[in-house]
Amino acid sequence: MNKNYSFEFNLSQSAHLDDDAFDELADAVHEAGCDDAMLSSQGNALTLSFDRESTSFYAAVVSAIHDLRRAQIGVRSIGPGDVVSAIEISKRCDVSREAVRQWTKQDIGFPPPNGRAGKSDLWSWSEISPWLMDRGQLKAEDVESAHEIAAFNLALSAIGNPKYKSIEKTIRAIKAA
Amino acid sequence: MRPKHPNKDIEAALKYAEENDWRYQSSGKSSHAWGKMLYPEKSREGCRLSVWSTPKSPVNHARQIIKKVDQCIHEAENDEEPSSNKEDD
Repeated sequence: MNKNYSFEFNLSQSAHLDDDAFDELADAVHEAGCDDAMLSSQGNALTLSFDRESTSFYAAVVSAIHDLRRAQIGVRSIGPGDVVSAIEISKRCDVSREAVRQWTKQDIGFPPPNGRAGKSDLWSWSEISPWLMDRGQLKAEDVESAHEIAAFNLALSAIGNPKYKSIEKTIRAIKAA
Repeated sequence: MRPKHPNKDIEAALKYAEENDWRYQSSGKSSHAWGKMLYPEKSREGCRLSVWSTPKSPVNHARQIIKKVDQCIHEAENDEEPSSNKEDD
């Protein structure tokens, strides 16, 4: 049975496109079969916002990546991204920043941050989403999407990583200890 | 005066964009795009989105437009907030 899946692709192309080039890219996207996506740009960043009907999230994303590859359009990452600040958490959960502050400061099991940007703590969205679901902030399917997106982004960055061939070896080495 | 989009849901989304200071730009040579909407922003590079003449699902496309309009405005507001760089720790 088909369902609608929403996701965003951040495209590999990073040079700023003038308006004509942007229109040409839109045509290429449409001709690649992605008339279920909207092309947008902000500064140098190009994004395709999809609403794709498919049998699963996984199938929807893979089919979209394949469509774009035929048009030689590369996907750098899939959003919404996994690295989130407190502000981003408040936006995604539609709660106040103070509410997020309380979650992170109180001893209520909110996962610890795993990064920092200047003075801001950063969390992994796929790590905190099960906690948010238990608090009624997210649905089970949101948690599933978070994990699937994180897995896709791992795969995309592995493919783009010059050390890709040694990644399997590295995983074995870590597990062997 | 911009042309009116043939689909009522998309036309409503475009009106919403205009109410939020986005403006229309023609996609003259494009085969599939009806046009573009632009949000010129003072503190960072502006936003731009492409609107299809015949999207796969007009309802979904209208929703995509509205979501992007809200996203860009929200980010612009955060840029202007004096405390947005001082995260509470």
